[in-house]
Amino acid sequence: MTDYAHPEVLVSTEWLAQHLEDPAVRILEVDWDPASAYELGHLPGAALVDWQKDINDTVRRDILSRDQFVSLMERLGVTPQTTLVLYGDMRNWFAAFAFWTFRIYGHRDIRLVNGGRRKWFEEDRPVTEAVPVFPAATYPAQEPTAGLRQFLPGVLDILGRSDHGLVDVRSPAEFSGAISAPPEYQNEGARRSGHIPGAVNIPWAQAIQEDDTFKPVEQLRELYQSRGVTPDKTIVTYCRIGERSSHTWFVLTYLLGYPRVANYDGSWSEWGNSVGVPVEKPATEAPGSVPA
Amino acid sequence: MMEARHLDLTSAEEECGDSAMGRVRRAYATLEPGERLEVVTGVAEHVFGIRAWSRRVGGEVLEESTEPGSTRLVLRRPAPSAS
Repeated sequence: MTDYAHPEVLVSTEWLAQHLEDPAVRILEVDWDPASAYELGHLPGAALVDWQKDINDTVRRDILSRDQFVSLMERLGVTPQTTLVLYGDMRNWFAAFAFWTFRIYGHRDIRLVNGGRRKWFEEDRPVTEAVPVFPAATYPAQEPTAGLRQFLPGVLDILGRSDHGLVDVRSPAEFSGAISAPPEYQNEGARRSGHIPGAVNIPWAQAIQEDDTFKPVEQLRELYQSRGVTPDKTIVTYCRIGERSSHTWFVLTYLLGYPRVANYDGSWSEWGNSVGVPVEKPATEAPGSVPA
Repeated sequence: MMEARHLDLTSAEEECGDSAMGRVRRAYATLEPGERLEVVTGVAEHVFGIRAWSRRVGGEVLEESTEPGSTRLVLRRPAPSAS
């Protein structure tokens, strides 16, 4: 892991096994579906962060507010000095999203478990159903970190600019417009399918190996640079709701050390539902054509 | 005996779709009482999750066998007990 640009943000399962009871460390399992993951078993001492309830505003579409972030940290007994170690279900997508969100709100020491839940279970390490309780802490709001998030108007502004790059990390079927969302995610669908013009398709999973750990730095460099995603550009990542693209944001920012990477968390579920924005779709039907 | 329904989780996981446990839950929900679901997976996290979830919902793990790189579990949705 030492060849990565910022190896300090990644911990191995072995390191974590030795820090399960470290009071300076707070282990957080970030799940999209806790009933299928945390509630069935988790790392000893790990607290649950429910992505849908804790990381998102539950009324309007947005990440949690700064005040909500402070409340969450205080409930988890976290101070600005705590080392947060994140892992989670769905192959660390939502842990990466939490990493990105917590970084926006200025928490300094955040680390991601390389290989996540899958590797921990594969290695037959200890698991528990016990839910830890931590004394509430005081968490003074930190200065937010600018430049990590992109919004739709900002993406419109960079279309066609050679000093910017757009990375669509969805599956090829989503990128090509064959689907806008799988049937089980109806509320993530869009009125239009396809991709943002000029985006290159590098599915998030191409950054990881069979055991879910990240690929070596030289393979990652080749993967992105061969597609024109180079560190001299400002890069914007997107997917459908911004969680898979957080994973790629993490890779580009911390493993490859790109200086300017933002995550467009509105992603396709915003872009594909917006009126008048340009869409690229390889097999576009003629306007007004009637489906057979 | 009715043939078990089959769910293969060993193929590459969808890059955009439901979790493995989500797929198991949805397949199990379609079973009639007494019907069986055969699940094959190569991921230890799935095996743990299927066992633990099955216990929670009162399901039965009838069989479990492991070959290199793959585990096969057979679940049964129990018939309701007579009152």
